[in-house]
Amino acid sequence: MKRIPVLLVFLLGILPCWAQQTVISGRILDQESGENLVFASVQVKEINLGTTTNEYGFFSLTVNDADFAGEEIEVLVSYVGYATQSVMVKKGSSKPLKVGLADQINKLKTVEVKATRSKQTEELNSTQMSTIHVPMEQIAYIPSLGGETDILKVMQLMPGVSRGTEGTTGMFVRGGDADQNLVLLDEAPVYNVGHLFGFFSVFNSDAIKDMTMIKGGFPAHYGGRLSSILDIRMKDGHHNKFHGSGGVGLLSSKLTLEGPIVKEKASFLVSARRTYIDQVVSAVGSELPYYFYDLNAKLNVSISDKDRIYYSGYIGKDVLKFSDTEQSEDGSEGALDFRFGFDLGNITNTLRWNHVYSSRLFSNVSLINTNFDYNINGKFDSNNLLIKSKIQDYTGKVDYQYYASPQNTIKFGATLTQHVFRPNVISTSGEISEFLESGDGGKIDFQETAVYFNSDRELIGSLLKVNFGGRFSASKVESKFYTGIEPRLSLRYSLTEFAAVKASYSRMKQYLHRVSSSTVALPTDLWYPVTDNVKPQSADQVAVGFHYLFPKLKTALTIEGYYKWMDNLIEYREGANLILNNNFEDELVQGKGDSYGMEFLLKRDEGRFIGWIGYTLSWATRDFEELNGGKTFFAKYDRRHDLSIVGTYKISKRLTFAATWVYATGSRFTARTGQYLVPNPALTGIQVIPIYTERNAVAMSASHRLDLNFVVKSKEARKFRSEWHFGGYNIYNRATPYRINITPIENGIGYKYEQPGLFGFIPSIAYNFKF
Amino acid sequence: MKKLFYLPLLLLAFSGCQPDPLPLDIESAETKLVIASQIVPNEFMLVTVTKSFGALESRSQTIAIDSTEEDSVSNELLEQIIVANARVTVSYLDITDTLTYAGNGLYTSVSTPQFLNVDYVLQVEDSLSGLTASSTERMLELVQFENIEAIRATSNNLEFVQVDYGIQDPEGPNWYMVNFYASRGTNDFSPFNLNAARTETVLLSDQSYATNMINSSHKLYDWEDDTVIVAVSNISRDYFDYLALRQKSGDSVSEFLSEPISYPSNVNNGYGYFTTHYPDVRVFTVPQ
Repeated sequence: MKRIPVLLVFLLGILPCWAQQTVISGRILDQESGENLVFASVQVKEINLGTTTNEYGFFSLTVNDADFAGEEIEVLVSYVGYATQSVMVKKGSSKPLKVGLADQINKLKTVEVKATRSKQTEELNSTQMSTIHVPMEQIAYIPSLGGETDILKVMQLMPGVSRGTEGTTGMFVRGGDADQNLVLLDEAPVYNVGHLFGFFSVFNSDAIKDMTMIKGGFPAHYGGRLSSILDIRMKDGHHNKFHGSGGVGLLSSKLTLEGPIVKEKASFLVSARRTYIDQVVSAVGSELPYYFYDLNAKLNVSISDKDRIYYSGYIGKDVLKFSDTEQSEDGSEGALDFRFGFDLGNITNTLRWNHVYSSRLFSNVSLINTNFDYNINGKFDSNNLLIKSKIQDYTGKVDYQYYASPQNTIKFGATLTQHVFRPNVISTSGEISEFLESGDGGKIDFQETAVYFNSDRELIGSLLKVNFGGRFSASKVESKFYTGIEPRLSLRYSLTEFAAVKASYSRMKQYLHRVSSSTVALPTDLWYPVTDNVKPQSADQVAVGFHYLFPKLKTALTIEGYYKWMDNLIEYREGANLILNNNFEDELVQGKGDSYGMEFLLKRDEGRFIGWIGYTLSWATRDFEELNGGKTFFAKYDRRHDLSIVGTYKISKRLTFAATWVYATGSRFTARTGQYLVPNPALTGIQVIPIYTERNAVAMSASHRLDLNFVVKSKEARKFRSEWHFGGYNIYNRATPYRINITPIENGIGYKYEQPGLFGFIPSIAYNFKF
Repeated sequence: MKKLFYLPLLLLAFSGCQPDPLPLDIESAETKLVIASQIVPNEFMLVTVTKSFGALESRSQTIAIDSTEEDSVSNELLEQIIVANARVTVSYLDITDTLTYAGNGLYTSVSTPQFLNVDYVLQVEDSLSGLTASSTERMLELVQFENIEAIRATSNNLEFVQVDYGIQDPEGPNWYMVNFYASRGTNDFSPFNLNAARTETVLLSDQSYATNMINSSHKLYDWEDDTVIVAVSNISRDYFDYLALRQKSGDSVSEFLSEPISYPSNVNNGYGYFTTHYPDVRVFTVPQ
C-alpha cells in the first residue's frame, strides 16, 4: 500500500525534470497561534507568479531557475487581517518554508507592506466560481436573532441562498431543496444543523476557523448533494500559549479554551456552548424544560515537518423533558402521571493525517464517523412509548494534491462510506400498544463510494485557466446498485488585470434524501438512502460569471447567471403523513425541477468599512406527474427577488457599528380560496371541503427587516479583552410572513386573510471576552 | 434578588413585540356546482346540488345538522348555496329521469332501477346562476356480506367491539367501502338517518387479498351501544381514491403538517362526487 504513493511520487516527480526549477513549498501559519492559514496568498511578484495555500495551510510553487534575477528571489505571503511577510528563497532550495504571519492588530512584527495579490485577486484568478467566503472575524459583528452568532444565517445573506421560515437555518440554494446541502465539519457530514427546530445552528462560531460555501462549479473532490457544499473548518488550537474566550448572552453562554500540549508541536482546543433559557425561566418561577448544548474538541499534533495528525470531535444535543403529576380528587398523589421528552443530536469524529511526500505532493487521509439520532419517550399513566432512530456513517477517504507546475495542479482521491440506518424503532406498552405496535423499523446498510480526478491548468499564457475533471460515484443498498458519472469543468478567462469572465459546468448526484413533512422541520425528520423504487437525484448546472476588482477600494464585484436542471427530485403525495411511517416509500413521488437566475455581489473585505450588497433574481419550478394535475408549479422557496445589505463600520478602536437590511419576495403557498359542503361517506354528517389554488401558486407578501448591532470594546490590554454587544433584531418590528391564516374581521362580519410573522423586535445583549 | 436580576433580562430577551400581521388579497375560487348522490335500492336516487363559496365566507370545518352550534355554517350562507331551481336529470340506457326538488338542495327520482355495468349520466343546469355540471358513473354490482359477526372483547385494558366479516369478491379488481354505525336507539333505523351517533369508515381493495373471499376484521373502541349497523358498498376505483384522500385529511395534525389536498372530482365543471353505489346493510345486537 505504501508503494503506491511512492510510485506516484516517482512518476510525477520526473515529469518536469527537463527544466531546472526551484520548488518553493511549505506552510503558512498565524505567527502567534500557529493556526494554519487557509487560502493565504503566496506570490513571486517579480514574475507575477502566485498560488494559495490549501485547506491545511500547505502550498507549492514552482519557479524556473531562469526567472531568478540573482541567487535569491522574494516571496511575499499575505492574508486578510495580517501583515504581509517577505521571505527570500535561494535558487535550488528544497527546504520547506514555515512562514508565520503577524496579526495586524497586534503588530508584533511590522513589515513594509508591499503591493501584493490580495485574497480577492487570488479569487479573481482562480477558476473557482459560485463560491462564498466570509471571514469569521466579520461574522462575529453581524447582527443576529437573540444575539446568537449564527454562521448559517450569515450564509442566508448571500446571493443564491434563499432562507426558509424566518429565523430558521434552512437554506435553499439556487432553487434546490433543504436536504441538498452537504454541510461538513472538518470533513464530517452533519445531518442535523439546527437546534430548536432550526432556529439556531449547531455550530459554535468560537470554534470555527473558516467557512466556504460552493453553489456551483463544484470541484471534483466534492459530491453527494445537488445544491451546495458548506465546508466548515474548526480552529486547530493555539500552538504557543494558553488562551481562552467566551461569551454570555441572553440565550446561551460559551467558553473556549485552547493551548499547547507541547509548544509548537501539539495543541488542543475545547469549546462548549449551552443555552440556559430553562434556568432563566426557572429562576422566575416558571418551567421551560428545554435546552441544547454543543461541545467541540480538537487535537493536532505535528509529528514531523512532513506529518501532522488532527482529531476533531463534536457532540451536540437538544433535550426536552417534561413531566406533570396531578393529585386525584381524594388527595392521593400520582393520579395523573404524564412525562414526555425527546433528545436528538449529532456526534462527529474525524481523524486526519497530512503527509507531505515531496515539495510537490501532499496527501490527506481521513477516517470519519458521524452519528445522528433521536429518542422520543412518553409516559401517560400505564402507557409507555419509546421511539428511536439512528444514522451512523463510517467513512475512509484519501486525497492527493500534486503541484506539477505553476500552471498545473492535479487533485485525485477516493472515498468510501458505510451508512447504517436504524429508523423508527418503536416500543410501546399499555393501552397505547393497541394503536401503535412495537416494531423494529429495520436496519438498512448502504454503501456509497466515489473516485475523482481534476487538473487545474493555465493555457494561452495565463490568460485562460481551465479546471477539468470528473467524479465517478456509486451506491449500493440491498441488491440495488446505482452509479453516476459526474463531469466537472470550470474556466477563467482574464480580460484585464482586474477583470475576468468565468464559466462552469457540473453534474452532481445524491444518494440520500431527507424524509420530512413538507411544511415544518421536525425532530422526526429522517434521512433515507435510495431504494429499488427511489432513484438517485441528479442535477446539471451551468454558470457564467463576470468578476471585477476595484483594488483601491478593496472591493470585488461578481455577476453570475446560472441554469440548473434537476431529475428524480422527491416530493410527497398530497395528504402524506410521514411521522413514524416506515412505509414512506409509498408516499414519495419523483419528478423534475428547473431553476435559473442572476446573482450580483459587491463585497468589501478590508478597511474600516466592510460588508456587501447581494441581490438575486431567480426562478425555481417543479414538474411532477402525480402532483398539481401534472402541471408545472413553483417550488415553495421560489423567491423572485432577494436583497441583502450588510455593513460593519469601525467607528473607532473601541466602537464598531453593524447593520443588516434584507428584503425578499415572499415564499410560496398553496392558498385556500373556496370551500363546499358534501356529506361524509357514511351520510351521517356534512363536511366542509376546502378548495385550494394550484400548488404554491400564491406568493406571500415581500418582507424586509433591519437589524443593528453596536460593539463596545474594552481598552486594549495584553491579558484580558472584552466587548459588549448591544443589538436589535427587526428594529422596526415588521412581520416576515411565514404562513397564511384566515381570521375573523375585528368588529365586522366575515373573515380575512392575514400573514403573521414569527418574531418582532428583539433586543439583545452579549458580553464576550478573550484572555 | 436573583429573580429581580433575571427578570429584566428575561423581559429584555422576550419583549419582542409581536408584529402586526400583514394583509393579503387572494382571488376567490370560481363558484361551481357541488354534487353528492346516493341510491336507495329499488326506492329512489338522491342527488344534492349546492354551490361552492368563498374561503372568507365561513371558517367552519363541519356543519351540524341542527345548526345550533356557534361554529357551524350559518343559515344565511346555507340559503345562498342551496340550489333550488336546477333541472337535474339522470340518463341510463335510452331513459332519462328528471329528478324532483325535495327541498334543501335535494333532488329525488321517483324510481331509478339499477342496471349493472351501465353508465348513468347526470346533467345539472341551474337556471338562476347559469351554472351547469355533468358527470358519468357506472353502476356496479351489489356485493353482500357472506358472513358477519360482532363480539365484545378486551385487550390491553381496552374494551372494544370486534366485527369480523367476509365479502364475496367478484371477478376483476374491486374496491369497497364498509361503514359502521351506532344507532341512537330508534327502531326505524336507516343508514341514511342523519341523526346516527357515530360512524367509522373502512376502505378495502381486493388487491390486498389473494382469494375471492375477502375476510377482514375491524375494532370499534368506546362502542357503548348494543347495536351495530354495518353497510358494505362496491365502489369505483376513482371514488375509492377520493375517499382515501378524504380520510387522510381527517385530522388537524395532518392538516398542519401536510401539503393541502386538492380533491379529485368526477363532476365536469363542478365539485363533489356523483356515485351510483348502493349498500348491503346488516343490523345486529352485540350483548354487553
